[in-house]
Amino acid sequence: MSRRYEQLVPHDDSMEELAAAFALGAIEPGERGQFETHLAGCARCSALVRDYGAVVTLLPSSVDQMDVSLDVRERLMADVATEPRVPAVEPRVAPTEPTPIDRARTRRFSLSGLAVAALVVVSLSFGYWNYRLQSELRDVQQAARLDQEFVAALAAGAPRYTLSGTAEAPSAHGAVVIDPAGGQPFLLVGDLPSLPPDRTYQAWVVGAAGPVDAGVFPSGSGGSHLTRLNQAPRAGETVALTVEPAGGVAAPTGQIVLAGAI
Amino acid sequence: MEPSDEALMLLVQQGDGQALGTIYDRHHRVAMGLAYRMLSSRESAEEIVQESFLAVWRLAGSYHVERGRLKDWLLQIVRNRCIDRLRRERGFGTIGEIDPALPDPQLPEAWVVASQEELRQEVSAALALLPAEQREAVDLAYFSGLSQQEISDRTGTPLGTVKGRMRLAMDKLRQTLWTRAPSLEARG
Repeated sequence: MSRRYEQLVPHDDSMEELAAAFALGAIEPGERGQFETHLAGCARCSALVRDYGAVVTLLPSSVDQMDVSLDVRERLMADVATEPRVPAVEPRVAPTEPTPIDRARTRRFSLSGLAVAALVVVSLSFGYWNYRLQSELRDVQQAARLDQEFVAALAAGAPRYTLSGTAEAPSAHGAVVIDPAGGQPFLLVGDLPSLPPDRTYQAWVVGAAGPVDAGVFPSGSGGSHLTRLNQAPRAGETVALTVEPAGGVAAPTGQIVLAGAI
Repeated sequence: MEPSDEALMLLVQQGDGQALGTIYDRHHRVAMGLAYRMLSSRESAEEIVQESFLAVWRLAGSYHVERGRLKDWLLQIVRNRCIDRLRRERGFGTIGEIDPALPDPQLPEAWVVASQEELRQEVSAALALLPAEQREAVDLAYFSGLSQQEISDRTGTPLGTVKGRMRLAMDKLRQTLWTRAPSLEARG
């Protein structure tokens, strides 16, 4: 947020007690208005409330995480299915300007960069480790870049095509998102069944000439997975996923687990 | 690779229910932990968790990544709903969905990238360093949703003392957590 606070009113020490209560949501209703008026013109109290607010943000982290009954998720998804959202008209992230996501990513990069830089110095004596760490850093940077590009595509209102799980994987779901920046399409999949190490998921673009390899990616683990297809489907073609031997094959041999038309 | 919360939330904003399911899978355990801590009832906490994720779905259009992380926004919804429930039980009015007046909190980077377990350990340790009466003031305000006057009434402590304790507690937490942040970064 780029809001700037100006010192328009004199700082009042008595207001600092209210700053703590304000951040915790414990301020009395009668004092809230008075404090908010002061806050609007006092840079020192604004900074204090930001700091206290950050502390408050951390407080729920002190509690132990707990499991939730499985049927809560089922009920939630049933509610969601009966209550379609009207898609937001305006993108929530401006694609042409650096966003807080970008800044956060940059900070994470810089952190990762510092950490890895320090490790690289140590690993000069350990060539293998040096190589491995640099490889891991490249993976992290590539993943963050892919996510940034995906966010930018979504924010720009990129066309999205739904993939549905077949009888082989009824819970699986996915989407192909066209990259308005001209890159290869994104493929987002979720809830694919886990596979043994000697199997992989392989994507195909199926057109009039038959299926064309669109890339392989690691087996599902119940979460979601974002990658890019290495083939761009055209209108009327189908994108499908099959289970294949690790490394992929030239033509599909396994059952289709996820598919959708473009 | 796993898509970020921000990417998933953009999909939710565009009406993708599966993306909400993925967000649920990532964050339901911390949401449940907070709700249970505030309500001390598993059944009520589960209701709040379900309601809160449904609120994420309904309010998705009002989420702005500029205002903070999705997890923090979600937990604010959980907390507000728990406070509403507690206040209804006490016969008070409700507080509504989101407090729009709170300026965006700016966490040290170390806290943004820390794991949930690191956060739990560090924040618990910081709270444990507070004198008992200061910790109680923060606890009653944050986890029980009491105002300073209500804390004064409940504990039989003068209002001015409650205010002072809360201020001292927040200062000390800020100092402790900000001091701890560099050591976390060094570990990262």
